[in-house]
Amino acid sequence: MMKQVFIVDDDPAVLDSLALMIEQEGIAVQAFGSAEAFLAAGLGAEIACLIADIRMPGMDGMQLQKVLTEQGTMLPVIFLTGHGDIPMSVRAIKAGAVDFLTKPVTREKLLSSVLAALQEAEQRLEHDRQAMQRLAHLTERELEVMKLAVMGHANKEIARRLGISHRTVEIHKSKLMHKTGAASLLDLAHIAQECGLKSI
Amino acid sequence: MEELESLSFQALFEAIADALLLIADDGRVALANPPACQLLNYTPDQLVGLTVEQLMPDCYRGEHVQHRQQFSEHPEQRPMGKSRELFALTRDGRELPVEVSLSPLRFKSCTYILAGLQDITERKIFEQQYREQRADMESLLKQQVAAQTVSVIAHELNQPLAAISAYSEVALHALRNGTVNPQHLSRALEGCVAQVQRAGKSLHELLNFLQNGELLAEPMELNSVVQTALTMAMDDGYGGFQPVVELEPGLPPVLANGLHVQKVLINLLRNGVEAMRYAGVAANDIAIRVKTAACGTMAQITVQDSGPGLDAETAQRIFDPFFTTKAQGFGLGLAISRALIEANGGQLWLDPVMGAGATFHFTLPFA
Repeated sequence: MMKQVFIVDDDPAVLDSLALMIEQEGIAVQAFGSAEAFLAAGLGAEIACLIADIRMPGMDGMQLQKVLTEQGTMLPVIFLTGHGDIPMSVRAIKAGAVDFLTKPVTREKLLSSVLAALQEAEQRLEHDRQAMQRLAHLTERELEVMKLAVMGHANKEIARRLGISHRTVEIHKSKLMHKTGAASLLDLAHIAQECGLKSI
Repeated sequence: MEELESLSFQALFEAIADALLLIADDGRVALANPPACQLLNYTPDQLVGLTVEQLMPDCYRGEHVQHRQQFSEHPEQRPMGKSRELFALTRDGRELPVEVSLSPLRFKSCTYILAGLQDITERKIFEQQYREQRADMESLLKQQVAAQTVSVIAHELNQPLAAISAYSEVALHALRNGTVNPQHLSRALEGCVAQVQRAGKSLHELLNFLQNGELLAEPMELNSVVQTALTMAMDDGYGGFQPVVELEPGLPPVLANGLHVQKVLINLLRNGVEAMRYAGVAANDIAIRVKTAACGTMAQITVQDSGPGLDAETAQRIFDPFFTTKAQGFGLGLAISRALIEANGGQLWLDPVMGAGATFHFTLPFA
């Protein structure tokens, strides 16, 4: 699968020089002058990571990270900052950033960070794929039962909502637990979360 | 009405709530009302017969005898001590800041002076607090401005530096690896050149910005600017020093920006006062000499404190930006002062003779 790095920085020279540096490694790069332009471009499902400047006019790096998280995009983010602002880097890392680099950044540091982020992306994607596979064999009714179950509804309530008998719910549940390989309801909830299963 | 006419002067005098002293023409207290006795901590018997000089701190007594004689020759109703602070000395040795109003009262045989005393201790405390707050605010503002300026400069330079660093490493890596892609290499080197140019341009723009505000120079009387600066320096919370002023009379006007000269003078005065205060010189003994003189085509201003002076190492670095000897200083005062004087066509320097106290000189061109 193709590997791809996105860079977002409002400074054209920083953008171009970093893009060139990654390009030189034979990794595909797409550069954007603003967070808005990046979001408008839309993403493929490649193995990718994002390098984003913290300080930008309009939407800044931290806001961009927040939007991506809300969209459920599992894109590893590397932040760039002009000065090593420790409280900000702590916040960024807590919010899920994989790295926080201070400009000027050395080639060694940037590339090792990018490679780690791409590896992370690959793992996330693989994890995601496996989880999705577990759901692939579920029938539509089993999926409905699963959604209600992970919302915390008891069998009786699920039966009432779907207009089926208590006994039928029990059968569906046992089948879907078996198919997904979930050991417990908590485990099932994790799988649902990983697959981005939306509640009804 | 008859009742009012029968009201004696003495009864009225006693009944007034403000502290009043009736002074005879020999300068002695003839009458004191109860608030006056309370304020000064005397019984009426003790107070009557004292000279007014005995009711003021030592250092004011000598000149006051003269002032009193002048007033007796031209008695008029007026506040006392228009230009300076007044203090009353109580029996137990306290020095109270006071305001005094003087009114001549003519009787048949002689003229008495009615002196009204108002204790302004509290007002003084408020004023001091206000001045300190103002000084704190000013200091905070300066800190903000310095921090902002540095942050802008840092950002403006760091961006091109980040790009130059990345471009250079691309070129270096290509050469080391032996996989030179001519397009990549020229993009990297062109990028380096452009970013170095950009950094230089940013610096020049910043310098231009900092020197902005088209210097408005006009002919001005240097001696009066010195007087204004002294008044302001004594009034802004750093006060409490004795100015020793030696202004050359008839000095021709100089061509300069009055505000700049004022800022520089106040800065030098403050530095002197702070240095002496820091060295433990008592507030009353802090003296600063300010001198003006003609020196060829330039006027020369000298500000000299009587503090401990500067050691050789400090003297060497004293004009460096961000060099400071103060716990809460930013080290910008002298650097800015020198830049201001130079912008006005003059020079500012530290007297190389290390004697008692630090001596700064600056020059300004005559108009």
